[in-house]
Amino acid sequence: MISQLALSVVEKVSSTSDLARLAIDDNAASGTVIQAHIQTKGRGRNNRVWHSPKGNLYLSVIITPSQPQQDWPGVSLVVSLALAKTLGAYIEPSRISLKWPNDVLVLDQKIAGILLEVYHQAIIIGIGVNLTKTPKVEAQNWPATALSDHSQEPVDSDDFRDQFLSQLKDDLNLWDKEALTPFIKPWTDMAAFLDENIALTLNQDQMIYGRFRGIHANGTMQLETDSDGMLSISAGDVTRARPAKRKAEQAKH
Amino acid sequence: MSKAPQKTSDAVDERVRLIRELAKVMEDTGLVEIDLEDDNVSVHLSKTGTMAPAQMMSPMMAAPAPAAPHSAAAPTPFETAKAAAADKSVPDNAITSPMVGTAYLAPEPGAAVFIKEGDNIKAGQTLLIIEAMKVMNPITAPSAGTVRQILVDDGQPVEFGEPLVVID
Repeated sequence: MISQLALSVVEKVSSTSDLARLAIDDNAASGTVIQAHIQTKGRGRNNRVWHSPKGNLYLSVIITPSQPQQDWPGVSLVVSLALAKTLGAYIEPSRISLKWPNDVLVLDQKIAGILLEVYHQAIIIGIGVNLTKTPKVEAQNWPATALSDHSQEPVDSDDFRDQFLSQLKDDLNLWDKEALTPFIKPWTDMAAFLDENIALTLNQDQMIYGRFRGIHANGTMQLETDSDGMLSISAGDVTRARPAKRKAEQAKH
Repeated sequence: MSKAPQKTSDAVDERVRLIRELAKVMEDTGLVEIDLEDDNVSVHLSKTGTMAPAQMMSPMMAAPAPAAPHSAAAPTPFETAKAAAADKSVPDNAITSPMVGTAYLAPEPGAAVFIKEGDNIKAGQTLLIIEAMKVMNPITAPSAGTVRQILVDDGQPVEFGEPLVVID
């Protein structure tokens, strides 16, 4: 699927995703990568702001998979795992975990954001990694961290980017051949909150609670609930059950 | 079900003839629903009546008991056993979901919806978003037309192939 990575770097852009769309309109090849040093309108899930000061890694990767479109959500897991593996060369791997579907955590703090958008027959994989700066994350009840807080030596951002992109290319090509099968176990081995009680925010104030029982072969979350048994979940924000319950209690008053 | 005023018995006969012809077309082609509209007449024929797929998915609508009580009636993204695509009352030209996921009718919580029933839309316009595992899938209009039916609610789980919107 990706025979060659083609990297373009710009100093400042609204969002690398915006440039990726233009590139797709212009028939960009699978493996096109657009990096910016600064984003003025970086975005996360639900159009949350992703603060993008200079010093971190912001890039969009364009891929055109041969897997059928209904399997494309699995790319979310593949990307988060590739990033976790790359970080493992800089940070003690036992400190790194993955929060479903694709948050990468270091000591339970969020170090990166990954958001994927389908555009025409391509996927734009948007990635922000906190290398040296820990921006405030708006509208999200989750602490953030940066690689420089955990790494013994200074991180060369270009080296980090190249290692990550190389890992990502290999993993995406494997996914394009074999779908999620080779990734389920390695992802689960790094999963945060496995078999723990979690709260899942579905949509604004809707929440459900249960025990996180890992991921299905298609990547959906398996949530064991008291009332409805095992559920397969395709979208939502995961938090620990206790603080989320407190929040829900407050919301009632 | 003609909306046009019936001025003369000739006009009524004409409508009856039209409906008979359309019914025959439905028999011949296997269509289950026909909408016909021009300056003088608006006809909607359906063999089984129309029913939004959400109404047929009672297992999914069951509210999770220990969940936030203020949202007890809201749908939750459980995988549904029922394939709504098999629902014969949905027009063949309905736009369907490309993946299992959650449907959003607005770009972000609290924002204005992308479309409303009756809206005239352009080809390529975003109708809704299907999210699955932080993969955002904008569903766009394949051609210009009018939004006839929106078959899903905001935040509703959808199956692969499930009808989402009817445009003609």
